[in-house]
Amino acid sequence: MPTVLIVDDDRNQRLLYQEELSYEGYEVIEAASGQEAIAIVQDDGIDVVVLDIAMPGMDGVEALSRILAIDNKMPVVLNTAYSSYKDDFMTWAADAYVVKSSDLSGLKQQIAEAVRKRGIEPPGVVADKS
Amino acid sequence: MTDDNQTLIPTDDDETARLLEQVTRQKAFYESAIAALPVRLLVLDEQLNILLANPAYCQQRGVPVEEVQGRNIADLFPESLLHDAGLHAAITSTLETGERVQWSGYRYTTSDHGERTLNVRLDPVPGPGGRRNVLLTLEDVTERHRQLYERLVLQQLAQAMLGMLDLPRLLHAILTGMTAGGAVGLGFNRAFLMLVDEASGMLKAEMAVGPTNADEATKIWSDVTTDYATIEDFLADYDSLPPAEQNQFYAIVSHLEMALEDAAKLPVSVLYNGQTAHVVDAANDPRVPDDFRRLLKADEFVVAPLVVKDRKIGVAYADNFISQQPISQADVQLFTSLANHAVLAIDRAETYEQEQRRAQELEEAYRQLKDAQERSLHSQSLAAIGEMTAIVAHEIRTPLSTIGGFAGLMLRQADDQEKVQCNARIIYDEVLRLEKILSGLLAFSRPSQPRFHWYKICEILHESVDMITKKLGTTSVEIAVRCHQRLPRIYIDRGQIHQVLDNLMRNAIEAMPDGGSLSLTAAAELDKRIVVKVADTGIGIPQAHLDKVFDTFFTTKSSGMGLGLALSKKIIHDHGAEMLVDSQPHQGTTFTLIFPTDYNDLQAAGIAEEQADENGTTKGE
Repeated sequence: MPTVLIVDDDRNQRLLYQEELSYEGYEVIEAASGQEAIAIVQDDGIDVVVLDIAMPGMDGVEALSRILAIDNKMPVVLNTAYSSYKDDFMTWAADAYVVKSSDLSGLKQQIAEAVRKRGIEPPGVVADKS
Repeated sequence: MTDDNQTLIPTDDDETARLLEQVTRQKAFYESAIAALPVRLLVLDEQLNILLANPAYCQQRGVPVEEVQGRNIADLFPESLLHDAGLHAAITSTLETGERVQWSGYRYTTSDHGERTLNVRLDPVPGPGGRRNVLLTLEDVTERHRQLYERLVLQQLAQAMLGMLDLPRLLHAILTGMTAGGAVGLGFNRAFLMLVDEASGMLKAEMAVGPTNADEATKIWSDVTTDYATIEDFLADYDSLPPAEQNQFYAIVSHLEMALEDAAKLPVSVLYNGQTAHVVDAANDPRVPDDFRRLLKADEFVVAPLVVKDRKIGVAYADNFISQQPISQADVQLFTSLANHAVLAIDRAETYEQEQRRAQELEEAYRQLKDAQERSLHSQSLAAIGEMTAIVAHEIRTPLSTIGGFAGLMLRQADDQEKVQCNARIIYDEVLRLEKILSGLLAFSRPSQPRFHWYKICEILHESVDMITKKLGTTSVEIAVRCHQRLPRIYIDRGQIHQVLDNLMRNAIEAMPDGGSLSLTAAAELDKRIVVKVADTGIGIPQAHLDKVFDTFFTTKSSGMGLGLALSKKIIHDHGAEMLVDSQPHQGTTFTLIFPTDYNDLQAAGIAEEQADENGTTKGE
């Protein structure tokens, strides 16, 4: 079962992804800040990181470079409410850039592709009824 | 002087001879004195026959004494002088009454249509047989009067010109002054101006006034001289006159163009030596260029320089081509003098024109700057709207995606009561969050009008702390209030100040995620101001952010639109108070609020004061 690390300071957002991705067949680990995320990535076992950008303290962009410094092959999907960060070249290092939406199919698709890059077959996709 | 010999009474021959000799000598003396007098003398009898005429009179008439003596003045004097001007009546009156008459500046028209001015004197003198004769003294002051008069005209012209700032109008006035007769100008027949065109290095005819033939001359100048009493009258009517460019004479001179290099030739030479040139024989004068001879056809003319402060503006030309009247030295002087006045006026008008142009340029530049500023303000406000939209979009997108996501989960898990309830709770919370965002935006865009009363600052601080501890529950932050109960009251909107303190305390608590202490203090300053400090021991604000913390939409938080401190600052400002920030990284941040309590300070801030009463309670509570 591929393991996804969800990094978001918004508790309800984390809850939502936890529910959705578990249902999808992923193992989901949560982090509420950049610092927390780095600590988790250092321990082995994460297959893909879903990273929010606007967070207090260390923001997603900084967290992204720290994560890649630890494991430069780690697939990272940026998941943010801002579309403007797309133009920030610091975000180009990420594997995908997803703008937050109530329709999670885009995010799930990017996670599946990232996992495949890691050489792991994503879990059987359940048809999205929403 | 008289024929009266009655007083000669011979006593003896010697005595008679002596007396005779004395009389003869006296007669010769008087006759030579009379002959030498420059004034014209006539002695007339009762019939106005000439008994005696002095040489001055005969010379003026151009006849010998014998031809004049014994003739009646009615045959010799022009009708206009005798009757129209009333000389005949005056002489008759003096003969009758014996009264002396003296007239000065007595004008009449000569038989050749010239105008002369005389000083006239009538003295009764005794005639033979007790009759009365009259001594008529005539002094021709035409020239003197003309000079005085011309000076006066010149003065008027100069004054009128200095008041004119419109260049074409001024040039026309100058030419009019040179050509018009009567009370309006110097009376030349034709005049034109040539001005230096620096771009082409040429002296070009600019404007001309004058008739092309005698008929036109009569027509034009009889109009001007009869219709206008002074140059001002003429200029006042200027706009109704045909433009100077349209006259015939201009059509002729408009072809005149002289290279400024032609310094030896007229009229350019005048420009360089600064002296008026009086040409009397143009056909044989080597200074006169062929164009001048061919186009102007005048034998005699005068050209005066228009030069001011070493600046060569041009030249003025005038002649008496139509009347062929010679140009006197006095005319040349007057013309030069008028040109000198004219050039000052031209210089003034040009300077004024330049200043006008510069003023216009400045005005234009100002307008452009203003436009640019407006555009920039507009684009700034557009940028601000854009920035706000992006922030609001983000703020709304996160809860919306949460709501949508959980709504999707609810659809999928409709059978799981527990999950549905949990998800509904999350959706409810997120909707509340959206509402809060909305009211925050509205509060910022339409802050409510403050309602001021006098409050004790200590009470306000304690209330604020109570409220926030109720809302947040227990935190790892220790909150302390330090203030003296007897501090002067401050004049505030209680709700708004609570809002500010709430915002500051929330920021402080957020800055101390690992705990710390938050202190609220109030103290009085010497100048009747109350200083409130909200200090934390948190992470601090980086120096680079310190200047921006009060800016709208500036935030370092993931949620929040950067409105809190901007709104707080606005509220404090509306209270006539000040808000300052000081911060040291890893040591903490202190916000300082300084409230005025002095009546004058409050008034200066536009806040109407309501006095706290004696027993410490406040009105409006």
